[in-house]
Amino acid sequence: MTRALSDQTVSSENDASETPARFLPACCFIVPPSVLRHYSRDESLDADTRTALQDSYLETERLRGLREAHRTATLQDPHRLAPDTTPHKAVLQVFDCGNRRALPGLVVPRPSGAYKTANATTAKVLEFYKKVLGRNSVDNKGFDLNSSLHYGKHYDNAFWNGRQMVYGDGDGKMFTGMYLSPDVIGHEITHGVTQYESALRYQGESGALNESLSDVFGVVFNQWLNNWDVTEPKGWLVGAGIIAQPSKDKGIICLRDMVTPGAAHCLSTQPDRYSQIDPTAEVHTNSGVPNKAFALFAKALGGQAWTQAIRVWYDTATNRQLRTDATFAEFAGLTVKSAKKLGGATLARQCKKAWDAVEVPAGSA
Amino acid sequence: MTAPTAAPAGASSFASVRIERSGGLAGLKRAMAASSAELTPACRDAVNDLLDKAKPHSCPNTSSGGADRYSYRVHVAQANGSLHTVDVAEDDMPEALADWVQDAQ
Repeated sequence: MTRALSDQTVSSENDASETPARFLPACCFIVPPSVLRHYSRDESLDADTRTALQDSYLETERLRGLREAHRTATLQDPHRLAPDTTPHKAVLQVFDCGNRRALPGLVVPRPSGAYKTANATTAKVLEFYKKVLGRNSVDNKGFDLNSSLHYGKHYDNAFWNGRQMVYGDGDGKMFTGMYLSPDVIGHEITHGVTQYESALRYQGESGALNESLSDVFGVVFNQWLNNWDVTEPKGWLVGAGIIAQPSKDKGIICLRDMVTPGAAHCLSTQPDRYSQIDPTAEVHTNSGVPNKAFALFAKALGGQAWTQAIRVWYDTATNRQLRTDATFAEFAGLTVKSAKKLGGATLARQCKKAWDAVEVPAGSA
Repeated sequence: MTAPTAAPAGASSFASVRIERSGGLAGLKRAMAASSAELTPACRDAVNDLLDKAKPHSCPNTSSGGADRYSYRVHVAQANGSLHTVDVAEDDMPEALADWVQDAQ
């Protein structure tokens, strides 16, 4: 019999019990350049193997140099390496993957049903970014946005692949159609914005910040769409619309809750204070800490989160002071600076107070 | 560092496999395990193919581009008791194995 292990039961990489006693790490998928170089000089190996290792070493170093040069240049000017395009209004297109995994799939020329819903919500996200934050699509130059639906079989996920949004149908047990939560569409599009702005590295604290920015802008978009003020509990849920009925029957109402990240009604519970985080955790776990900081900040201000609180986070996300490898503390300090710039000392103090509550040092207000 | 033994097409050179999936929008983990005999031919071939591609002097990506992508860790136990571990990006994961993990009950 094949054996399925239930979700969230897999032990962490550092759990010694995970490793069988006879574990022999005979193969490594990523080979460090130093290892390649070492063996390329190993005279016990035949000449062809040493040549292949030397070639691999040189190619690895060449690619590493190119990647770093591109990263640096993109941070200095994200459009320098892209074709010089005149800003325009983004064109939206939707595609049908037909439950296969080839992207983008077949174009849907006259969207109806699910395709129309996904396209309409995408248009609303762009309207939110334009009207509230003055931004023109993910690159601020009218980047055309493609959405692919019906990706894979029972695919329990939605993602941004660096060029477009992709949505699965869900398995009908845990998730339903992944395009059905407006905040999820806002979440994926915001990954595109982050890609063109701070390019937060997708690991560790910077990866959790990358995820948190997508959750924050996703839920505030949903609040704006529904005209909910900060007191509406539904406005702080991530992925409420993609939870399938069997999960709801078990008391699950969302993926994540930014106000109470550890709540039992979340499919994926998170820590809500810095002292609780696991530094080795996956990026969607530790994002609970900055998520809660934003929720506390916005709720302290009252009213609508899109009138002031989101502008502070947007300034931090786009003002080019945020490092690719930013820590929670660095990000927190920058939000306090943005708050001071946009609303003076009082707003800065309120921002710092939110970070204090989640145990992240934000410097002086 | 030793390359996994390449198997003839269609033949099974391993005893069992365990695949862990992590990441995705939800950030949930999921895992499946089976002996070689319990796998479909398509899944067996896919495991052998992953082992064959995981040469010590190759340097493939372990993460797909963008965000909210799945990533996979494949543990393969050989008949001689050794265990090979391969990290696979979502874009490089054979569809048969990805579907097997997705449909885990």
